[in-house]
Amino acid sequence: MKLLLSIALTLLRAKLRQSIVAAVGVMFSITMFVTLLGFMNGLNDLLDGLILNRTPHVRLYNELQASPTQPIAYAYRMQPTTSGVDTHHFVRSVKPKDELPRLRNANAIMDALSRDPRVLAVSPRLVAQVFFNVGTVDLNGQVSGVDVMQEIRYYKFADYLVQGDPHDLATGNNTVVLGKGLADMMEAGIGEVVQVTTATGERTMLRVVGIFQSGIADVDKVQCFANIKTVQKLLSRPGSYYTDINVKLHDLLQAPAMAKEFSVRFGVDAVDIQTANAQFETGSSVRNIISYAVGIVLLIVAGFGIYNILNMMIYEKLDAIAILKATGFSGSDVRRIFLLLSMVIGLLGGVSGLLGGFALQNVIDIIPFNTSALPTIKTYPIDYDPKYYIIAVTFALLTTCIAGWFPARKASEVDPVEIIRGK
Amino acid sequence: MSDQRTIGTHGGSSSVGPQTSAGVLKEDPSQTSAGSLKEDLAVSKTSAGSLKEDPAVSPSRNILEVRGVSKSFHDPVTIPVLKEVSLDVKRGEFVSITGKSGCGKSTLLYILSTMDTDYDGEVAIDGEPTRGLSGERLARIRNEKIGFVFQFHYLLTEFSVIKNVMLPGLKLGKYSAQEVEHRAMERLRELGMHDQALKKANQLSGGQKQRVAIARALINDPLIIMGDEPTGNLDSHNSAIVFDMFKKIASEHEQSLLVVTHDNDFAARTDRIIEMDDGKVMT
Repeated sequence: MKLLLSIALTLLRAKLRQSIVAAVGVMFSITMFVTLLGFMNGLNDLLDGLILNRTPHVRLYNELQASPTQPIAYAYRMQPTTSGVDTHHFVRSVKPKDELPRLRNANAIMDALSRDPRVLAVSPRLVAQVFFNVGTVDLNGQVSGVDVMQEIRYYKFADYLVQGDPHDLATGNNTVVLGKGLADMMEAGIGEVVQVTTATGERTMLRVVGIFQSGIADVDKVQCFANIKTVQKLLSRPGSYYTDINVKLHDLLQAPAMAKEFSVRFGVDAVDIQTANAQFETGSSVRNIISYAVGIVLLIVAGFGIYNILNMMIYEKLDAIAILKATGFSGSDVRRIFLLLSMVIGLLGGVSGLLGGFALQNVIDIIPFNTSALPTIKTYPIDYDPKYYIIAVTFALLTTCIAGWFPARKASEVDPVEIIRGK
Repeated sequence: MSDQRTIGTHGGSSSVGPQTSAGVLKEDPSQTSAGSLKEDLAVSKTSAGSLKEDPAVSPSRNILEVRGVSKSFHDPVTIPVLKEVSLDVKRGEFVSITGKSGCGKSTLLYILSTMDTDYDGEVAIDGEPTRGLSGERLARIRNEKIGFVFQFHYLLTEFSVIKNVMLPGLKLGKYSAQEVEHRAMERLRELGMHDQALKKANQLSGGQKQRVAIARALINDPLIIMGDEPTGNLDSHNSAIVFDMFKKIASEHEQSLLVVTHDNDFAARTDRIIEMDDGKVMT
């Protein structure tokens, strides 16, 4: 095998320029493949992250709605009808029962969830509708009471703060982080105090400790965050009063099944991330398919280049093949020589393609990319996942193997007598 | 070896019993008598004698045996090119095949070289019939037992002279790369080409290339060297050099030579001429 490799390398050196052209073809396609996938996936992660980072995998809440089974239905179900026809009642304008939008027994549910091995993190939320009083004008707002440390850790809360320190929100009492749009409307900066009126008419003063920008303008005009204790106090509710429980799972794909399970088990409403944000999943997979398709097409083109050059080389090297066979190299030796030749081209092109791809990714990574929707992003996003490098080099070897196989087989079938006598 | 074996079996089957044969002697040493030991010595003496005769016998051993080889080309109509050709080449013999163009002498040579397998009849090289052997095995036979010299030098132009000579040796794998290189250098020195060893093959003149091709044919100490018009492309001076080298090889290393040639002067100086006409051996 070492002998065959050295013969292959000598043949390669003899046709250096053609070999380099073939290798550059592979290199170019691998470079583009790696760059394209890295860039596409960087963008995918960024766009998905816009929603997915901020969204729990499963959200448990209590929807206020009319009972699906009205009392009158219970009353008539007990009596079998003489005619055999089911009864039907007409009760119009059914209203929901007067109750609080709270999760009952929330602490017990959270305990149970945090013991579940599939669950990564459990964080409570308390959402309150409020008005911000600016002079004589009242602005609509929604204050989410959150467990700040959990939010920073699992929902990248700090990434979306354009001003201020999120830890101030965790420690301080009566503090608030305002959405950027809302803060602009109120002309409120850090350290200033804003007045809040709840739906029940209670007024509280809150100190601004940060400005928040989600990238979605409509959200930034109403959304605010505060410590969960602050919101409980704002609403005059006890310490176990939560409206939502956000659950982050180890495996995102289990979310739909687990949402159903939690809903039945705890008797609450549950929505999973796939149902809430179906369009993001679709977008990502379509972008992935496109980038893989383009990359593979590039590789196939490079494969044809190798096929051509090897075919030409074999035609030029018929004498050498005949003489190798005459001096004791078998057909399969000759085939291996040309396969090795092809794989050396593929490997050289593939490895330099990876380096080229890495370099090009680095170049893209420093190109400025500023958008008001994404406060923390300053340059184009790149995903440097080694997975793409492995896929690229595997494909490069596979293509060159297939492209080299046919010419190599042809070389192995050369009849030396024909060549030697033909002169 | 075969002599010893015959003696052994003869001793075992003879009525004299266990004493005569060395093989049985090992089985039961206690029964050995002094007389039988003497007898044993006598036996071994004769076998040694026959072994001594061996080198004298071996040149008559057939390196190449050809029995009833026929071949036809079928394109576009069937034309027989070889008709029931039979011949032997003995060890150390320098044989030339002559004949008019198209008499089938080259076709015969390529059948004998194992490269052409499409024929009827039997070809045995060093006692091994080649019919029906795998491509791998035939390649191995070519590598180990046959050396080739062609009319058109056919060196690998990408490789240096020394590497050209070394390749069949490296393929055989009998010696390490250094030894093969050493042996290749020896062969080149014998042929007066050692000072060109590091040149590229295409920087040599025709006569020099042919000498390198001969060195390559010799690298694995083949039993037989085949040549297809090895001097056909050379001037008379270089032809003479090549002939002398062949002659030297045949006498020194006891390797057989089978050379197809047009050159009657060349043929006349060989041990034996096989003349072919119309696909048949004439002499």
